[in-house]
Amino acid sequence: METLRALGLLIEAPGPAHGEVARALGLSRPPPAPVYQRVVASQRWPYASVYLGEAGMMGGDARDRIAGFRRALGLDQEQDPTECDHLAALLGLLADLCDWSAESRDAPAAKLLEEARGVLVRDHLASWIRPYLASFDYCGDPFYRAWATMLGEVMDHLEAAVPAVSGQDSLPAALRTAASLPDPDEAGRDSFVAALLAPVRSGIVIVRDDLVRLGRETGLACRTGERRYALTSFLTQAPVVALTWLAGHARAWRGRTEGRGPAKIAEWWTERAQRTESLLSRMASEAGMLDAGVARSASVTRSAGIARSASR
Amino acid sequence: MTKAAKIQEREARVSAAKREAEARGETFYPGASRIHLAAYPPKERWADWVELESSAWPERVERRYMLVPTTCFNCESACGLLAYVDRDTLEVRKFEGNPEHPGSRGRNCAKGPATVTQLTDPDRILYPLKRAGDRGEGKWERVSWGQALDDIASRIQKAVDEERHRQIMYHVGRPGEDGFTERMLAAWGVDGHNSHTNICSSGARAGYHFWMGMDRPSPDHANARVILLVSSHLEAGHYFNPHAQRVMEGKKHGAKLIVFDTRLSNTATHADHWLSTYPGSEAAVLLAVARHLIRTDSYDVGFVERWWNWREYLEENHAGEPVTFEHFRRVLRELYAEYTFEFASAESGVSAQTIRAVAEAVAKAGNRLSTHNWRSAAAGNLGGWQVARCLFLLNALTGSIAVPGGTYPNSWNKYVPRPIRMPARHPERWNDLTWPGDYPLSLMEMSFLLPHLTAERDGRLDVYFTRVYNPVWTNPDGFSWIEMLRDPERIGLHVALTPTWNETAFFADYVLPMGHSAERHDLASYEQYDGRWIGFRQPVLRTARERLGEELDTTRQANPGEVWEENEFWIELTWRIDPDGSRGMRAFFESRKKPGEKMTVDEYYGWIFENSVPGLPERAAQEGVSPLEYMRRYGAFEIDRGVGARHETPVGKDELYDLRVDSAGRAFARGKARKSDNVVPLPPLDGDETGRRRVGVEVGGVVRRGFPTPSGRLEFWSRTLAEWGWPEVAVPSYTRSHVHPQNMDRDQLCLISTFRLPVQIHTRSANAKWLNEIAHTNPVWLHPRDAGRIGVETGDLVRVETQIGHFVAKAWVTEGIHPGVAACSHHMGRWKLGNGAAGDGGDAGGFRQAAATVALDSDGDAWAMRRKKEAGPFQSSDPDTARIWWGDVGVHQNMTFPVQPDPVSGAHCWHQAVRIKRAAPGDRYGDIVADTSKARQAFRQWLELARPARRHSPDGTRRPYWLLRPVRPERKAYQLPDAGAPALD
Repeated sequence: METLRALGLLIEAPGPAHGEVARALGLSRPPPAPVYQRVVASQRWPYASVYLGEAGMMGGDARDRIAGFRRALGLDQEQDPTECDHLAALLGLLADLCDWSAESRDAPAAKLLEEARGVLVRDHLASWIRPYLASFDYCGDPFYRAWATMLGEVMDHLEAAVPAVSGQDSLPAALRTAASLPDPDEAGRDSFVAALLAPVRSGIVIVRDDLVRLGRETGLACRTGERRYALTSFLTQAPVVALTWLAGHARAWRGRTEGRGPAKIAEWWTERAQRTESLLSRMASEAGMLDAGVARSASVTRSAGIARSASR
Repeated sequence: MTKAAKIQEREARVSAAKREAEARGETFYPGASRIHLAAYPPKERWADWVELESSAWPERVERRYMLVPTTCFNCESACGLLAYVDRDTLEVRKFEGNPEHPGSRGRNCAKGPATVTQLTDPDRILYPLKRAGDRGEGKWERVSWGQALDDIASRIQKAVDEERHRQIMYHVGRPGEDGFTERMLAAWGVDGHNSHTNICSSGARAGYHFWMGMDRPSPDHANARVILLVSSHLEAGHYFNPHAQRVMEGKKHGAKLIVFDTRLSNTATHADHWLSTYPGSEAAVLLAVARHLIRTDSYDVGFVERWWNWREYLEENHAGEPVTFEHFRRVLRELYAEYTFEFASAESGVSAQTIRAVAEAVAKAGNRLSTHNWRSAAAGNLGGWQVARCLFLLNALTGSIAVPGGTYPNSWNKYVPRPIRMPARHPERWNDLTWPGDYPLSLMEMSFLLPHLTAERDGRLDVYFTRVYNPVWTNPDGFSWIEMLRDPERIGLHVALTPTWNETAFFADYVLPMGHSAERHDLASYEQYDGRWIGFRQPVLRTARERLGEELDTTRQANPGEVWEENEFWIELTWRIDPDGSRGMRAFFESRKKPGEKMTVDEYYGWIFENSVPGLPERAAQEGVSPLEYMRRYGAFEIDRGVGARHETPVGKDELYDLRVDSAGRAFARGKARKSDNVVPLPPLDGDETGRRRVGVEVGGVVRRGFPTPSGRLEFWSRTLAEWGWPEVAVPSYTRSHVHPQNMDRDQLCLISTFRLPVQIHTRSANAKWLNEIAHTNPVWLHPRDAGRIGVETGDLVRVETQIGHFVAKAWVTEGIHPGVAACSHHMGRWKLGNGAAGDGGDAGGFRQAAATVALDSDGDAWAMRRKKEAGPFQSSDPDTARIWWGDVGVHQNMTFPVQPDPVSGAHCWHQAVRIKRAAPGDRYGDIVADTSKARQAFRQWLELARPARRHSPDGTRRPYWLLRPVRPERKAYQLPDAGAPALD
């Protein structure tokens, strides 16, 4: 499964080897390092933990789960990559499992390897890869868009080909146990904004370019800083406008995950994006009422809370 | 075409491209650990690597480099470095990690990249210098290498011809290499090797050696369940980086980290259990843990029964009692009954609850317990060697020896390839300046006693080499060293081989510049995991220029100024000592390819790589290069991994011809020994009376390799210790240190001085500007309780009084130290006399970045050093030296310490019983005062603890033959002279 290793390599920082690998895959020449920096390294981090972790950051339980999977396979711990949930590491491991399974002459061992391959594909790749690849739909670079499309096709093929394993009908553990968005009134502004930026909680991906677009399309000032800071600033400046834009963004995301990948997983992401859209729309509406000075009833408490905390 | 067909077609295309790349000897994908920060330039592009010039930012200026591997020399880990040699200017621009190095795996600590600052240091020594005034006066004249070599050679020649071999001594600090120098001294027939080890690791090494015949641990931290460190090893100790990265891997996989460290060191901050033990109490705590394992039957009974010499112990110590394992278990239980958690708590100041928690964690580790002790407690205390012995007792109890996640013997994880023309000769004469009969069991040379031994017996040295060694600064009792070095009756000619100035070189007769790590050749191999590798240090500019087509005869043609390559120096010197070969030395340095000509370093190392490193010729052939070219290209080669439990290996039938197994299970036979090109030092074990060779030990009905000890087993009880006068410490036990509260006055504190600053090197970092900027001073750590009693706060001056003098330093009040203990790192306090002792640095030079200028006064035995000027900015070829913002470079405390040799291991016991007071009126920061008559008195006091060979040797020899020893003399030289050993008492 060299295709997997090759696709994995191309999501790492461009190096001299990339040109030949891209050519072999039938892709155009990889863009120079600044493009990689803009499109991937500073916006679309290729780590499972970013998309499956409750904090939306690298490491934590989401990475540990993959490290545990590697340990269960009995892989040499000393050789473990530090960033075992990096997409290149996952695709490399999948390619290894394919190779080992094909080379194995011991039928029970081969079967175990096949099952492990199934777990890796469903639990550790399919669980997050579609939202990740979807974020390249509008990344502005043809090479990475083509790369994402190609990997999506390969994933379709793999998902169809992996053998059934027990419990396959249930969702991957990371999705099954993921908390949803918190109640903004109870959690407070900071926690709500942080959760909104964690894909597994909100069902949507918000990259830095999205925030720039938010500013451009709404006329609000995009403050320079980390995403949390910029988003908080939008909500402070004009909660209704910002929340309305975000609801629209969530609606668009629903379309990006719908029907992509294994049905149960696609449904989970779509449904989560839909709930986020509903929540943001309601908050926008409630904040609008608050602005208009008509909010007096308990029904607007939530939006009043976020608006108040946003303006604090 | 269907989607599936498209995917298959693409798969075939990528696979074909990969095959083609690999057929060209290239890597299709960069290495396995390639993700982000772990990314390295792919090796096939090392010859021509392009990077953007950082100093040109924001312009995008490309620079072309040749990446040449070498080996770091800034500690003993021998990590791999990649030199970035600018292809246009042929300058080394930077050093990064070498991903092909199996020990360091591309990762380095700060000391590795800082090598570039040592190369470009404006104060480094570039030309041979000869003393022009009195010793230490600072007057030098530049001489030619020919003059210096002839002068030194003629003296050695005369000494050898007059059978004054003992008067030639090579004294090394950081060896940084395996085999070359010992081979040279053997070729000379001179028992003149002297090391720094007895002020460093020999205490711990003795503890290991008495257990297993090998003297260092090789812990498998990465796979351990519990990692137990008696040191600040992880962040600051020896093998710092290769072990540290594996400790962190182990932690990542769930291992518990237990750290014994009196200070809250960086290592302690990473610990699950930090035990701030009172100095010297470590063995008591370890025995309490052992007691817990024994009393709860949480030890590997099968392993103990198979591999301990329990039978020998019972026979010799419990006469008339049953010699059964069950009885031994009962005896073992009784033996350690007194080491309760409460006892250990009272000794150490650590709560019994914490010690119990540690014991329970160790019990749960099973045989995945990795442990390490290097210097730390073993180097600080009377009986410190027992700390390592008690630590290894835990491994021996849990069976965590030479198993994954356990602790391996170093010699099984190290490879020293057999060199060309290995001298079969051994020195005929014993050197009792380094191996005095007073300390027959000392693991290494009694190096730090040299000033006393030369003064109190006929101890003249005619030619004394110091090589990467600075005893005036590094050793205790520095003023006695100055007295010796100044005395022409004791030191005829002192030759300092050093790349940089140091406090000892100031008193030399010749200062000869040798290359830094990127300017010399060496071979190194160290125990860093269960595998064996060799690393090749090479002069990177020479290699780069040769790759570009230049033909260079010697390394010095590529080195800066007239800096020589050390191997080439010894070859040249040997030829001048023995020009016609009549002294039997030259032959070992004569070319085999071109008889009658000098051997070159290419031939020396080329032969080793072709003939003595298994697998290397084949690996090189795969790439179509010679083994030497392979090593010049990659810098390291892994011979094997997963060496495993060698002691369990059955001895082959071919070796067992005419087998005889004695009553202790030791196996002797006449079969031919298995050939090995690994000449890693191992104890020589005697055969039987009829000439059979020792082949192993019978365990479980099978003759196995066993351990290289007299019994062939792990020696819980050491016959050697018992028979050479130390029966009371022949099993792992606890000796109360000289700094135990019962041995100190109430107003005294224990001062610990053995800890490192993680980014500093011993004597050579004074010219590494990046490291100096990070760490440059050494305040005295004081617990708030002690500081309050003394009446000082952070920054106040304190006077620290030792047995022979005092020093004045600044206090640092911190809760990160055990109450009743003070601490001061030995790394700082560099000084220069400012009297012109300099190379290119002018009259204020020497090493200006980190050395204060001092006035040195003496009146008879009374010595004083007072600071005249702190370090500061200066103009030089390096603009950075004008930006030096620090002035305080610490205080040289070691000068106020007397020698304190442990009577068994011979190691210096560094910890000091001191009185700390507010500085007196007139005291100034950096003042150092010491009385060398008191130093001599202290030497004699400690000597009284020794048990000399002439009184205690069981067989009329100077030292047990099986103990490890560099440049081992002939067997007959071991015999004590008829008149008895020239003991000092």
